[in-house]
Amino acid sequence: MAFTFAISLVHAQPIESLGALEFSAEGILFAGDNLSGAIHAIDLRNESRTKEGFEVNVYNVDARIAAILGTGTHNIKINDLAVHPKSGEVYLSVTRGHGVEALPALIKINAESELSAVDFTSSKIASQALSKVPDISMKFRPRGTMMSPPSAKDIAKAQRSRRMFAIMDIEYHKGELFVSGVSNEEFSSVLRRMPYPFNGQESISNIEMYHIAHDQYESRAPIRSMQIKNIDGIDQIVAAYTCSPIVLIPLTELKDGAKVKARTLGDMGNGQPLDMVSFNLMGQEMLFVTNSGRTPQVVPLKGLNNAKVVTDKDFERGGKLDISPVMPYGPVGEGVMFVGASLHIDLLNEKQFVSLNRDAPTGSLDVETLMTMAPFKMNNIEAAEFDFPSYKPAQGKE
Amino acid sequence: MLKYVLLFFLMMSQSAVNAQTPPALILPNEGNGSVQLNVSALSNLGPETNGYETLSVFVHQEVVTEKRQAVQGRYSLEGSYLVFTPYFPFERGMTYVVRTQANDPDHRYVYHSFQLGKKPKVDQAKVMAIYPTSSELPENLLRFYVYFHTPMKKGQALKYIQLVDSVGNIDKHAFMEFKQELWSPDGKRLTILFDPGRIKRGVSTNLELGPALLEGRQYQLTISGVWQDVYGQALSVETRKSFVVGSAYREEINVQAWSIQKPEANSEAPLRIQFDRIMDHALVQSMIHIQDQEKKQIGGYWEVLSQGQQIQFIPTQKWQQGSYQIVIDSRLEDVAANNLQNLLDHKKTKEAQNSGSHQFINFEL
Repeated sequence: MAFTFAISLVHAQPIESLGALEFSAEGILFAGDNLSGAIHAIDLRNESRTKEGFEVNVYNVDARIAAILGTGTHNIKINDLAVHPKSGEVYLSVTRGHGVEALPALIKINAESELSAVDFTSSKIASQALSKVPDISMKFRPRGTMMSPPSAKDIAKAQRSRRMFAIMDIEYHKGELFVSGVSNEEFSSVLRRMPYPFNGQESISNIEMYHIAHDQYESRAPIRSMQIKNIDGIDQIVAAYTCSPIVLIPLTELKDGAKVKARTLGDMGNGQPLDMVSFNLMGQEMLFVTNSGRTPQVVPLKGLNNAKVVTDKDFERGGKLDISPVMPYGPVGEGVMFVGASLHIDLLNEKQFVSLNRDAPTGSLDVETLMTMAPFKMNNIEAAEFDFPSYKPAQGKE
Repeated sequence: MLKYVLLFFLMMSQSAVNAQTPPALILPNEGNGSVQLNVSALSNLGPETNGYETLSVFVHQEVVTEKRQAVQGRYSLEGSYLVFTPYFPFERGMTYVVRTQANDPDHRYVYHSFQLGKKPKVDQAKVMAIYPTSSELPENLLRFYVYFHTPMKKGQALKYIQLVDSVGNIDKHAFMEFKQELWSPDGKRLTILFDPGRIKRGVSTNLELGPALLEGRQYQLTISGVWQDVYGQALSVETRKSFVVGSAYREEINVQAWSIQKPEANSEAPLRIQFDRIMDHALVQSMIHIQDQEKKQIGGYWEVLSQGQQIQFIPTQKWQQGSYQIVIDSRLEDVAANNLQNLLDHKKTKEAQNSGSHQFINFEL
């Protein structure tokens, strides 16, 4: 099961951390490295499919990763998940350890659901350093919930370096990388755009958007997750923000130094979007948007076409809680059943997702294969009517 | 029942036999270490053998998972050792289980466990000693030696070390300021020099400021507790060395003025030398040696006694009957840096003599 890489080292800078992951169709893995402020392109094109129609299921994946990295679960943080487009194998970006002792790891789960740590020493890696990344000393403002003063945990949250949000999501599209995140400027929400293969060129646009639930224009908080789709006849970024607007940004507007006003279409309501994957459900293209504060949302792309773009003029003034009759607003689709939370997700095949889940009943962290049509497993829903031995479907229902 | 008990003991004795003849296993002490298994005795280890089967390391886990996987890393064959180096360093606080293959027909697994040793504790920062230790020092004292427990942060010594007189006045110009402070290579011994310009009579600073130390007065050398070592630990407490100033040493060292206390022959008793003044405690241990009649140096070591006014030589072997010589390098200095040939404060006209010449004291046992 040796994992072999072709060829030698190309121009690469040391990998200091591994966060957001994105595959090109050929099998180049783009990985965000917040610590060094760079994108690495790891050449995994030689990987091929060993098996058809497999599922990947790894329960207690953090403990399994800890075992092969020689540590305990307290030292394992999984940052993202991506499926290799050719092999179908699942890659996880991992931080092993904390603070100055933290080390990056890339974990592969193969068709047999076996884990291995990818050895980079002989891999072909190209890197591009990003400009205007936040200095490691840049922090956040401590704030409590609603009117309460900041708690110890709130203060700890504010102590996180803004550098670690430099790269939130990466999309590869027609020979270019689009990278969302924060810069070191006051107008800090940025979309970076660079060609791949890297040539050192990078354009940075600042993104402003109207946030319905907050009733304000926001230019600091970064895009959490995104996809690039043809909407209204042009390629646009569909972006999800914290608390949780859905906006469109035409690629043609992403020029270096541009101040771009995103088109706000809707708002799911408060919450923290984590990941977004597009899939086909019965002939309709959909987005599956995971969220740490809400159930996953399935957004039909159809609804984003010809959608009304809203501004502050379209609503009564004032912030809107989830209980407001206005919320959720716009073509944001439906929340779907999910037992626990999908933290990161990708398509395993046409009909299945592979998801990194925090299971609600046990709290375990699992990598699970789920049907796109019904992304849950019955084994963590207990004592439903159907579970009783005497249960028989009603006549005519079968 | 008895059958099972016997079986149990049989199994125990079997494993005891195995335990007596395990392949030598080298376990790491540090995170970046490796696990090394001597495979020279393993008959089944061919080139096709998977290192994993012969040697693997597991994390002892509290969460038991479905498929137990070993720690991943690289295998290499180095001499007669199969070496496993994990991709990620071993961690303190974790328990690791090493599985090796026994050299028996069944290739049974043998398990060993290890933990990395405790992180070496950094010693507490503190002043260990200040030399000269005597509470009475000559007016023309040239230097102090300060010994620390841990290496100190450099380049700030004179910020933290002060000479204070009996009424609390700080003499800011008492010591020489060097760009490079005088530290021992391990960073634990600092040499502080009084400004020689103030000691040498008739030199401009001596005329302007006068000597730093005046006979009959009391002073304190203070070392601030704020000063940190290289690990960021402060000394915490202020260290003070109080002393009175006696008359200056204005004469070269004269070995004729020393008194020697001879040991008995056929004993391991020390030989003592009583000086007429306080010697430099470092030089006094390196600039004097004893040789026998064949001019062979006697093995042993020196101890400084009476705050630098006496030393004793403790031989490693018994003294023999015969004649001996105490050999004194003329560069030996007292605490005012006078040596056997010169005074620090000598007139310009006096020619410096060859350094490295010697004087001798003969004695018979």
